[in-house]
Amino acid sequence: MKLLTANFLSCAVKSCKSSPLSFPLHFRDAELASKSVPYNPLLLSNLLPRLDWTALVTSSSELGFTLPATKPLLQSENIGEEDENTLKMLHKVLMETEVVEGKMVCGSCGFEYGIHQSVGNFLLPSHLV
Amino acid sequence: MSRPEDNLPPDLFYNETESRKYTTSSRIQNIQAIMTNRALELLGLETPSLILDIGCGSGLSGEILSEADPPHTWIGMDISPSMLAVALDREVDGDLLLGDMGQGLPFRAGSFDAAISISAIQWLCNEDEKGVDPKTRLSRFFDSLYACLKRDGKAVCQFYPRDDKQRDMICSAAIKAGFGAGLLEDDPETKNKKLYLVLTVGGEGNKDITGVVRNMDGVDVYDARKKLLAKAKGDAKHGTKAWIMKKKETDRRKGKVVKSDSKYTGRKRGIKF
Repeated sequence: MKLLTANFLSCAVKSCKSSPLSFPLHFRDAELASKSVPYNPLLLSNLLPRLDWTALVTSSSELGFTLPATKPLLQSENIGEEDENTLKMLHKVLMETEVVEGKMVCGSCGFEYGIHQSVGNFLLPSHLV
Repeated sequence: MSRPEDNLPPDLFYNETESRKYTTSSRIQNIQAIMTNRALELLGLETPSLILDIGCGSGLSGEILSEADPPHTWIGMDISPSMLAVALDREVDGDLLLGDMGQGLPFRAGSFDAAISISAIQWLCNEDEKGVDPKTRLSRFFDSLYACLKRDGKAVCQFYPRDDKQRDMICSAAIKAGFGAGLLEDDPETKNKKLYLVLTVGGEGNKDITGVVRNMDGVDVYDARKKLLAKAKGDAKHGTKAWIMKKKETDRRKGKVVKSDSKYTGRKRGIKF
């Protein structure tokens, strides 16, 4: 599972829908891998306003690396050198870092979503739907 | 022709053999490619976007999204582990999730630019287990889809309804969730007819669903809303003479005792001192 996906996932359990703790899901026992993906600056600049930066900082610290505490902002329409560096960094973190094995845990109800071969299991038992 | 939906639930039907058969069949690959391209055309995305693929299976449609111009990034969700295993073997670009769309999509609000679903949502109408209600599953699915799309977002779902009843059930669930909805039918009246449910999330440029197909060739627009509007206009206004006459007529047909019509029927009474 890419960090990009993790930044959009929240707990699907019914009672957690209204709880602010259900996002982000917390990584446990994560095993990381890096996979090269074509670099797409336009997509990243599109995504940047939608990213929840605090959640991203939390998940990356759980995986053992640090990001700047505030969300980087792009300077202008045209991508300059500084922006290019920011986007490259984002690309590496969001697109190329993958959690191959591990768990994601909801901060509200404690439900554990398994990750196996980088596929997250979001099937819920019927009493939680 | 038998429908796979009538045999087994999707996670059991698409087992290892069936998944492999589905993915390697050149006929299915071809049809999937045509449908995905059509869906992309309907979405009309101009910039690289983040797309949710619901019922992504082995990633046949996802591959087309990755190779499209501009290339899109996608996140796929499917209920069949075997299908996802095939997708992993094929090393698709998108991120994969194992999940049931009828349980609601586990994404926070405003996550995606667009969503596509190829030949999947008719599975929601199945009643495989006891206590499973297709209506609840449909509304959970469409409600969560509405929430996880950003404003101005669009979704295109190609599906194979069993009959008109099922088609209407799916459409009304989508409208109830708040979508602007329209149905596009390719190759109508033939064996190969394909239904696309086009959904828009409110916003400035998205108010009218017919705008989606405005610039497309060979599409006839049939607007059911206009007919409804005309019908509402045709109804006589409450309290007018025409309305009274109509009411008397229906009562007469029911066999009730109704006063005969005269020049005084429905006329205003004069002011009494």
